[in-house]
Formats: sequence, C-alpha cells, structure tokens
Amino acid sequence: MADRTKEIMEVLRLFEESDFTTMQLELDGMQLALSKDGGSLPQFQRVQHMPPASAQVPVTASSRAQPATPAKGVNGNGAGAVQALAVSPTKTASKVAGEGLIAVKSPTPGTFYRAPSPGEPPFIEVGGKVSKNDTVCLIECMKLFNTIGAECDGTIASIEVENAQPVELGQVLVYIRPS
Amino acid sequence: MKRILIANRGEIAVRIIRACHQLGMEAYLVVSSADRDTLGAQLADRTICVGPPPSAASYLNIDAIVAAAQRTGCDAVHPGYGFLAERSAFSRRVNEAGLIFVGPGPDIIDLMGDKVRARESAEAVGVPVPPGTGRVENLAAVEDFCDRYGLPILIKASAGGGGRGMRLVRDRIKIAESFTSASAEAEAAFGDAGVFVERYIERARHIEVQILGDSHGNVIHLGERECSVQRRYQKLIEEAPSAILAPEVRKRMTEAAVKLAAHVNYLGAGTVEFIYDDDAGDFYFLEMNTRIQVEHPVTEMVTGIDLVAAQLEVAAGKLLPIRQSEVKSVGHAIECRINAEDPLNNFRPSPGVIICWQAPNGEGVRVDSHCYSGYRIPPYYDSMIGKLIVWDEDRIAAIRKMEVALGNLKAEGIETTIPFHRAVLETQDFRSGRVRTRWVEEDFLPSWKA
Repeated sequence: MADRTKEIMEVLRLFEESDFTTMQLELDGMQLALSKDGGSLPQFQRVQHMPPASAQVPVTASSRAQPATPAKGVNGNGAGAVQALAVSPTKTASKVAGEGLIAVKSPTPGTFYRAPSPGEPPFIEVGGKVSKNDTVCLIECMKLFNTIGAECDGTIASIEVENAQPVELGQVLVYIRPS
Repeated sequence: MKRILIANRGEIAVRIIRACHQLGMEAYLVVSSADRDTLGAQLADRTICVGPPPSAASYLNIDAIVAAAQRTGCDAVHPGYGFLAERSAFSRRVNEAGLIFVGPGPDIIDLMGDKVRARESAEAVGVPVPPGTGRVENLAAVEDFCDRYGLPILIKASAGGGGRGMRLVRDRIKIAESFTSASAEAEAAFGDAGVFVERYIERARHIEVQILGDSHGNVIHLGERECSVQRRYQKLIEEAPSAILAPEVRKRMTEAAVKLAAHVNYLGAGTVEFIYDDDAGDFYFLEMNTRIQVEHPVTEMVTGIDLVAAQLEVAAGKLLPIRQSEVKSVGHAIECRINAEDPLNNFRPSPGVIICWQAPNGEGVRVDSHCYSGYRIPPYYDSMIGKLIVWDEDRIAAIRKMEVALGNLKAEGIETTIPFHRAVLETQDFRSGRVRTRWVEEDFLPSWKA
C-alpha cells in the first residue's frame, strides 16, 4: 500500500504541474478522478455495473485516495468487458431474470437512448405495457440509430441502462415480464 | 504558424498531421477519451483530451477545443471535415480567441451553409441552378411550383446536407405529406424547419470542382471529381477526372466554380458541387462545401498538389502555391471508401477489433487510414476506416489497379465494404461510366443480392 500511495502522490504532482484541469485514471482495480481550477470532475464510463458511491474519489493535495471496488476483467479491455457482462449482469437483473423475465439485449455496441430525440418522452417506463416489436429504445452505432423492439407482449419490469450511456454487444437493456 | 491544433479524428487527423510535419509545423491533436490510442494520437506531437466518447461532448465541444488551443499555445485550428468544419460559430470563436481558422471566415460558411442563399449567390454570378424556389412557407407555394414545372420535385432542407430533410416527390397526392415530413426532419436535424423546392433531375450524376483561394484575391480550380457511386447520398467511390465530361462542359463547369468562389472572396480549399443532367448533357449548381473533402486525394493524385498543405499555407497568409495555367491533370485516380459496414446485411455497422490490418502498396497505390492490427473501432463515430486510392495512366488501368489493391487489403475481424467495391468494379455499368447517383440503390444492389 505504501508503494501505491507513493504512486498516487507522483500522479498528483504531475497533474498539478500540467495544463490539464481534469484527469481520470483506472489502474489495477483503482479509479482516480481529479479536478482543479474549476474543471468539472470527470465521470467514469461504467462498463460494468458497479456501486457508484465509491467510483469517484475527489482528491485534494492532502487527502488519500481509496481504492474503489475492484472491477474484475473490465479494466479498459473491451473483450473482457463483454465477457464480464455476459457472466454477471447487474444484481437486480440476475435476481429478476430468475423469475421468468425476458431480456432485450443490444444487437450491437453503441449508445443507449430512451427517447426518439432529446426533450421527447421516453419510449417506455417501468410498469408500462408493451406489445411485441414496440420500440423500447434506440441504440446509436456509428451515427446510425437502430430501433430496438420488445421481444414479447408484456410489462416493462426494469430498464437496465441509464439514458445516453454506452452499451456493449449482448448487454441487457430492458427486462419484460411477459403477459 | 508553427503549431496547429487538429480538431478531428480518424484518417483525416492522420492526413493533417502528415501535412503539418511536411511543412515543419507541430501537430497537436484533440481526442475524446475513446481515442487516446488511435494512430493520430501516436503520430501527433501532443494530444489533448477534450471530453468523453460521445462527439457532442468532445469533438463538437467548442469551448473545450478553443480552450485547448489557447492553453497549449497553438496558432491555428484545422477542423478537418464533418464535426465543426462547417459551423460558423466555431470559426468565429477561433478567430475571436486570436487564432487562425484553417478555412474560410464565418460569413462564407454561413452563406454557403444556407442552401437558399447559396443558390441565390450562384444565380447572381450566372452559375446555372435547376428550376426551383426560395424558401417556401406553405404547401400552396410547393403546389404552385409543381403546376409550373411539373413532377418529380425534390423538397430540400434550407439548412440541409447529407440527405436529411430531403424528399423526392413523384406523385401529386404525396406533396402535402412530403412537405410536412421534410420540414419536421429539417427542424429535428438542423433546428430550422425551412425548406425549398427544386425540379428533380431524373438521370443525375454528381460532379464537383475543387477550388483553392488565397487571401490575395487569387482563386483557382484543380479540375473535377465524379462521385456518382453513392448510397443514400453518401459517396462510396470517387474519381478524377470524370469519365464522361466533354471538354467544353468541363471548361464551363470549372469556370462557373471559380466565378462563384471569387464572388464570395473564398479563402482556403472548397468544393463546388454540381448535378450533371445526363439527358440534357448540362449541369446545375448543387451546393458548396467550405472545407477539405473526404475524396480530396483523387485530385491530389492527378494534379500532384498537396491540398492540405495548401490549406495551411493560404491560412498563414501565403500566396497560392501554383497559378491556374500551371495546373495539369495527368492520368486517372479512383478512391474507394472502406467502411466498417456489412454490405451484405444492408450496410449494418460493424465496429470491433481489427485483428489483422494489412494495406496494399506499390506505385500509384495510396491508403489514407488510421487503422492498424489490434485497433478497436469505437461505435461512437462514423464507419469510415480508411480510403484506398489508386492512380494510373488511364481509367481502365486505374480500375485494374484498384481491383488488385482491393484484393490485397486485409481488415480481418470486422465486416467492411471491400466486397461491395469489388463487385461494383466488375459491372459493365461502372466500367463504361454509365453510373448515376441512384444507380447503386436502383440497379446495382437489387441485382447483386439476387
């Protein structure tokens, strides 16, 4: 741990001397977010669902960085991320999946959108009814918008991704309770 | 000008870095957090991260980019194509920050960005425009136009581009519906619901003229490019010169382009696009693009002029590197756009890791790309992963060289448009130059899939 503290102090020193106003670092299961001179604190791209509380550690010159929750196999490695997601989706997801829910998965990597365009109401809300092939969301991939349809008639049990967040191939987007 | 900030990514970032280094300038590159390990980032003298992967927060983030240029002591900003290249607000902000924008001033960008005003400018200097209207405010105006000129018509977004807010109307009962949907799409895409109407040219080719202007009042053209192989208004294959343009028409077209550019005191590299009517053997003004084009290499291959270097030099206030009388076009050049798309599955995007990238080489073969073995193509940006360009003495030899080069281009791990290009090059229509802008969709794809 002493080595790690030394490394962090070195990073802080370099950051302080640089022209940058924000910085984020992911290393061996640790995530570090820094800002100075009014730069806004960077948001981590959550490749895997992990507890958000410890994901960001604001650091001042005197504070110590705590290692965040280790993220196994997802450190900037895309292939690893897909694997990790396939093995362990979110806690709620694995729980509800056992209850006969149908998963709507992303056919491509991209960005998840809940509404047809900003300012418009979302396609679906939790608890809302859908018919098979009703649009539940959009996935933007390489500037093309793919409409994603419901797999079956039913009720939306959960929405697994925040609006405008990146998703991986095969990631669960929505769970539907079939009717 | 000693240090240039490049506000772009992908192959064009690599292209601009090369031109900067050629001229002994430093090239600083903005990147999003998804692009830190790109080839451009490796070649640049320094990279500055300006935001997260979505382009709205990074490559379109004017505040962050202008601040990055100022903080790192850059003298100029090169916008490339796409992203902020044709946003007058960006050009204005760069100038206000005391930096040089590599391209025309905000007023010219605004003038040419407004398709109705651009059309009026062309008309003012006698450049032919297709029968059409100014901005139409209501359905009655569209119907009046149809009464006078007949169908089919194109309803186009005033602020438009890339086919958005555009509707082809062949049937009178569809006019109202098309007018409403074009307007709505224009509003959504550009924040401006304004549309205008033009007579639709049934058998149209896309031919464009490359322009260069300096700040001493000189404007020259570097000949034309034909870009008729398109799908959904996106160009796929471009060549220089056009296979079919008669010398007399070429002369009139290039003169018209120079006249328009000179009229607006054009500065930098620009392109005047024309619709060529195959039936009438004549051309009409389509629009002017106030930036470097994706397909600029075919012009470089036949003229030997480095267009990006010329952009940088005229931005620095120098004279054009060449006079009109010294511009010579030799041989024939073809470019195929290599996209990470699956042409056999409706051109579905195919991002992912390129396990093996192997580019062809040899005399007259050029690959402009940011790819390498192991490169992961992110899903956030457009699908073009490179351009394959060939040059040879004539069109037939150039087509043959392109076929060989396509066969030697490897991009394993993803789907690409390489099979599409190989199939197009085999067709009699392409080989004999009988290709129009709707040929891919109406003729080629239906028979290729069958």
